[in-house]
Amino acid sequence: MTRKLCNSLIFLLTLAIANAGAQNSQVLYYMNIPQNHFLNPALRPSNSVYIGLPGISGVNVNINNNFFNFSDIFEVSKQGDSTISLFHPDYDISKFTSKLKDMNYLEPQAAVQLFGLGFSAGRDLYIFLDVNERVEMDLALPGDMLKLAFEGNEQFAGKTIDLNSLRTNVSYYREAGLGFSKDITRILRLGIKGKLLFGVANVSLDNKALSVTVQDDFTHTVDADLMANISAPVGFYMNDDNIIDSVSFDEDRFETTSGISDYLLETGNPGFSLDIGAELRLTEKIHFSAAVTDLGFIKWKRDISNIAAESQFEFSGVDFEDVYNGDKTFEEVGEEILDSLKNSFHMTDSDIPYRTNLPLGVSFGASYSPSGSFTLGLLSYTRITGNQFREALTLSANLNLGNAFSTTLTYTTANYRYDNLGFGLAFRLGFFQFYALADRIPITWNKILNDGESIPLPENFNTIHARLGMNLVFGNNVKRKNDKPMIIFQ
Amino acid sequence: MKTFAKIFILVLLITVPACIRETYDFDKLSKMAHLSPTWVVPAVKGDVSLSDLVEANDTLIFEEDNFVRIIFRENSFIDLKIEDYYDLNDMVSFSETYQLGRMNVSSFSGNISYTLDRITRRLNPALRAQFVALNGTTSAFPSFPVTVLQEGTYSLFPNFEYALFDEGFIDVKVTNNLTAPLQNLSVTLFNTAGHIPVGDPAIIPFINPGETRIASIDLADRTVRNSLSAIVTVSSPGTTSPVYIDLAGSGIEIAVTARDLWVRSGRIVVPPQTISALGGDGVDTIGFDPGSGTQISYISMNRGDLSYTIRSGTELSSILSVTLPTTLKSGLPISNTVALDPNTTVSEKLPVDNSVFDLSTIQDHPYNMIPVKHEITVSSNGRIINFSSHDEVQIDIRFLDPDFDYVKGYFCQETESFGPETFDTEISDIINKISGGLYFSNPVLTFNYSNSFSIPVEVDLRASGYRSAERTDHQLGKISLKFPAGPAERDITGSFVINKTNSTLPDLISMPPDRVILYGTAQMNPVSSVNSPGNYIFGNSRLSASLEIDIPMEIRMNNLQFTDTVGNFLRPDNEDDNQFDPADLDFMQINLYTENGFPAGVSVSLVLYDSEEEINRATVETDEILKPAPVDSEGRVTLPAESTTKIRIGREFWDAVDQSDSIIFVFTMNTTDGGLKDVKIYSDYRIRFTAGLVVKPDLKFKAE
Repeated sequence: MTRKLCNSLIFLLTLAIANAGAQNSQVLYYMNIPQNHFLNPALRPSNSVYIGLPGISGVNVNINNNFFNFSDIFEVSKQGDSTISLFHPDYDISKFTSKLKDMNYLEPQAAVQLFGLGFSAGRDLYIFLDVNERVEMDLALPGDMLKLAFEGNEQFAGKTIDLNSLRTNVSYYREAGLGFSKDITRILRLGIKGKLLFGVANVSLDNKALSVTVQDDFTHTVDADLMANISAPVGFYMNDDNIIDSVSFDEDRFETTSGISDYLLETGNPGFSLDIGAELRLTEKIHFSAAVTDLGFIKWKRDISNIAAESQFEFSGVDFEDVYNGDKTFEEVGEEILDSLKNSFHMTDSDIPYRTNLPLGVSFGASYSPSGSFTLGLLSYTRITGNQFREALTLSANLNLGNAFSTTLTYTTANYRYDNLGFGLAFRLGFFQFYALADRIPITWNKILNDGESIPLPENFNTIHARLGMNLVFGNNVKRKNDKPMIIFQ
Repeated sequence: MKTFAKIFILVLLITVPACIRETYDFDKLSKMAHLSPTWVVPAVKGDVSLSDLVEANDTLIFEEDNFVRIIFRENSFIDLKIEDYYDLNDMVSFSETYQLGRMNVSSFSGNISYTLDRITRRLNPALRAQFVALNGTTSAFPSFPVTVLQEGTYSLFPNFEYALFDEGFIDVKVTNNLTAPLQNLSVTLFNTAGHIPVGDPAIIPFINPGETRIASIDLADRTVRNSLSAIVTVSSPGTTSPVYIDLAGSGIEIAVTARDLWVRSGRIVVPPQTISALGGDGVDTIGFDPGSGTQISYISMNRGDLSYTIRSGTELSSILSVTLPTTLKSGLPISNTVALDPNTTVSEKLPVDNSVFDLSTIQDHPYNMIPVKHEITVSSNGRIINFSSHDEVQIDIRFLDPDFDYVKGYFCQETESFGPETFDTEISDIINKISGGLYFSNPVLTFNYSNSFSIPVEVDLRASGYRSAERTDHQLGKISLKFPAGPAERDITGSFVINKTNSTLPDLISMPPDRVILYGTAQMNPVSSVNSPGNYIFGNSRLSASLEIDIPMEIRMNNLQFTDTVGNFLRPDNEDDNQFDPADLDFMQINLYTENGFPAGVSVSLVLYDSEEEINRATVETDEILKPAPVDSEGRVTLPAESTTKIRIGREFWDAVDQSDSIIFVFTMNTTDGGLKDVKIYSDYRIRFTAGLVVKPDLKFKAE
């Protein structure tokens, strides 16, 4: 009873915590669960066979951001009698803007494993298959943009507001992967997984150039070369000035269940990606690993809209000459400038298929196992999105007891935070393997009071990654060595 | 191990709730939100030169080196003609009325005789009988006492009916045809009508036989009729010697003969006779009245007419002859003869074209007069007419439309005013709002004139500067003009410059006035030269002058302020239109960068004024938004002056907008070096500026 109660509490609390998760969980890497091949196809669990059931085997929610937390958005008023947001007049906005980075990203992601299968074939060959439904959003906001929105452009006088790194990519796709891993040598194991990708919908922004230069005399030069690519059942309508006048959603296609399923199961946006990994067992105790994941792309061809905007515009103020010449009034000159600004943006609407690349992951790991059940690990994970590199470094202590219980405690530096303590837990009951992990266990919490309820929330949101699920695992016994030594010293 | 792990986790989860950093009560979540970014935007830019702002025209001049001048011109500032000074058109007004005076009439005579027979009949009978007895004999002629003979009547005299003589005599000639002497002979003439004696009796004391003796009767002041009778008284002493006594054949004759007859009045026949002394001495004068003090000595005439009117007030026919002895035409005096019928008026014109009038010949009055000789021949044409010595002839002479070649004389010290000529700067709206130190260093007034009066002329030029109710008067100078040396030289031009060295012109211009009124006087012969009448006026003499006021833009300004009050245009007319809440704006700032190529700096203040409460609600002041550019020793800018100014307008300003009905702008200007030196303005001076706006709205929202 006590055990069941504790388990339930843990599960519930974990669920409560699990409002976020990283796709690539640093905690997951050294845990003995089948899903670790997502991070490195060369890794294999200790069980021989695993089956992942739809929706049960893995629900992964991941929110990464590197620029705000709950306390950055809300705070208690100085009088202590109310809660105020960052938009409140009493809120010192500089507290928020001072924390902004040059690149601020927000990456909410969610993935549901629809199906998973892995099995050993032969002595060292491991074959795995999985189908995942993935929704990913990658929003990169240049710090200058956020500062511009909150504080205005005065601070940029004499500088350039660099918005070249503004990026967004929202993708909803399905991946079906088939891979295998095998010992190539005694100490080297390689793994590879090919994934067919089926895009459902996408919005991405191709930013070739976007900047606003503000001179000391406040002259503004706008340089924009953007392309918004959309693969979705929406239509954009331009007016005579080539400005988007209206957007319509094709609701008719989703009025029936079959319509919805047809849309979701369409294969009009194909893609492919590759995971490649390697594990080098230098010694029994010392292992190295490396992997490249999500090396791939999706070609979007269905329900395409491309909205291109180019602009080369310089505004240096109303030229007084036109006014004192008597040719124009101030109002007329102002209208001309606005018209020039509008006309400087050349917007075109087309339906040209486009391609998006998946964010590339590169992992490097090293582990030391002083004993068979305990491993100390070091993992470097680099996520490459466009020109952006993000690095996470994790130290982990991993305990694996008889393939029945696996727990990991991690310390990760990532997202400009150095207080990420992660925890993972997996235990097997028969062939039901339950796992739950979080890359960052909130140490400190905030309490939210709302309509009489009290809801705890982690104080920091920078890394919210939780994954949980249940696998069916078979062949979990640890093999004992039964061979005799060749030489017996008497 | 498993147990340990579970316990570890459980403890962790239990202890976690204890690490609550903050509690956020979303039931008390404030729905207020605000955005207050600070935005900068370029507002206005410009690169403008003076020549871009104003165009050169007739008043504003840009020279070749771009130096700027303001020039006011008035081409007909002075335009004085002869008639402005002198009225020579009607300077002759001659009107004289002459009485004819006494007339000379022809003589008249008559004769009566008395025989001895008639004489003795008037004796006593005894004596008569004696003579009768002696008739035809030669004997001693008896004496007889004074005896009045029978009155005899002469025949009618034909040349008059009656006449009052002013002068004249009747000679009574007695012829003694008796043979005895006569003595104590007295002849008394009587007008038959009324038997009024005419004069005193003519007395002849003694006449020998055969002799004639004459005695005269003075007719002065006597009226004589044309029918006279005579009463004779005579006596005789007789003779001692015998003489032939013939009663019928001897007697005495009494003849009367008038002589030297001048009639004063009467009904007479006036024989043709010339009266050369109309008015007395035969020489009259025509006076010229060119005006008080003017003394004309000579006139050369191009064209003109002497207009005369002669009215005859007599029954005599007249022929009037007029001669102007000192008015020569082709070297000969001008004369004219006019015939007048009795009691008629004749009006005629006597052309005097191309003639010269010498008005200096009369010794006692060697100017403004010409002698005129006139004589009149009158006659009654054999008719008896009523005549009086008071009968008149009136002569009127006018000098019409003279077209002079020139007139010489002394034209006294006539003064004529010219102007006022108003020069309006047409910027009174601006000038009346200026205060402080403004100085135009070198204005010049050039007075160009053309003078065809050969008379010394002095122009007294004055100016009044007006600025609103303020007025200053300046005498700009007394200018002696050049004049032509007449009569050969007819016209001369000249100019005179008035500047800071000889006038207070800079002070006038530097008021600055919104209008300047120039006026003055031009005086002929400023120094009296009455004794040297060498002035000449020509027929087309005129004094004309143009004026040019040249104001080079060489100035200095020291705290020159321009103040203007306008309605508060920031306040919307309709409260409903006011969608701008001052609370929505934390501040607004204008960042102004200028490169000022003008040698003048400007600072600005803006005041929101509440006229009801009479207080300033808010003030925005700036330092120099334009710094004056440095200049070289000539006052020309060497390089532009850069300045950066930030004009901050805070929330309190916008709060005051609704309470203020007026905005007062005050611009303060100083030229380079604090206005202590002159600077020059060139049309290529430029101002480059950029103005940016820094706005920090404070937008508040409240979520529902």
